[in-house]
Amino acid sequence: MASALLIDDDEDLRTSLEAAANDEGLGLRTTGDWNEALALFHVFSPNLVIADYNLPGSEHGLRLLAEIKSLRPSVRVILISGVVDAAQLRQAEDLGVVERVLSKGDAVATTKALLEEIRRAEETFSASSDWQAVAQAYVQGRAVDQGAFEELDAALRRQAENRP
Amino acid sequence: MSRYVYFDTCALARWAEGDVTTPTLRARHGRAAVQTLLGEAETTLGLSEVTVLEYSSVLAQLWRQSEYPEHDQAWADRCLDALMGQIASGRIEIIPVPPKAAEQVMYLMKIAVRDRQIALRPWDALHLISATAWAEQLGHDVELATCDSDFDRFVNAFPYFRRFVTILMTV
Repeated sequence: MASALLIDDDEDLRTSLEAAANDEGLGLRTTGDWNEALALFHVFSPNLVIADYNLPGSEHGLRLLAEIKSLRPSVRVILISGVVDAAQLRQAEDLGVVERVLSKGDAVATTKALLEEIRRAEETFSASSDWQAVAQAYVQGRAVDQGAFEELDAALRRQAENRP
Repeated sequence: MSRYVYFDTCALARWAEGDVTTPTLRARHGRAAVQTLLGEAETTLGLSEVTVLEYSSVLAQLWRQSEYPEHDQAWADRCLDALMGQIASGRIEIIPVPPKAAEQVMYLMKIAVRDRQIALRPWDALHLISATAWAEQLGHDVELATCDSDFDRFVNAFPYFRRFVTILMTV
């Protein structure tokens, strides 16, 4: 089974993370497609989902992560981006939709940080659900400020659309 | 060619129901289908502890409520022994339920109704999750033997499950 899922159209990142994860025997699935990502999530229910902000031909990563989080609030989600500025990434984190935001500025550092996250997801994959934590995640998920989320999502979309 | 079959409870319930002198047509066909699978030496058979629990529940329910006088304690004991014998001999493997399956069940039930307005019962979702995990571990398609058409409806609505599991209707 897959303890982690990476959704990114950056093939280099997918390939390098897959290779590193395989070397360590970690369960990582990757895809560059939104619909495939949701399908993989439905089937494998990974503990960790990492998504790029810009996913071609689909909704943006923030919405994908929000959908995943709404389905299984206890899942740890990480948003990564090479185009969104640090303040907006932080805003996404503050909203409570994602647990962590990572800029792709330094590819080596990003890969290293993600690999560490995947290791942690693998460690807890075989454990039973911690229902108190699951329940807390459900309650916190309901408390996300939808207005602020829509505002941030709209701003990020405009920004992405205006990029050359 | 290797073949892997996972039993959901419905398939085995018919197998048990058919273990009487004059079974219904449905029970007779269901029993024959399971007997055929048990007899296929090249077919690997599996079920999860959920199947065992549900099967025991079905036996108790039929013992209590069935119109068939033959569905008595001796019948229930015989049917449970028959299943346990298959497990004890290794003919049927116990497939583990993934550790956080309950959380997955919750959202599969949600997307079933939200996205397709269809029903998915929790035990059925657990069977589907277990069979899918088995298929992934094997690197091979698993047939989910059932007499419940809800499974077929669900995997048709969410076809990516078909990459791992095909539905084998036993009645």
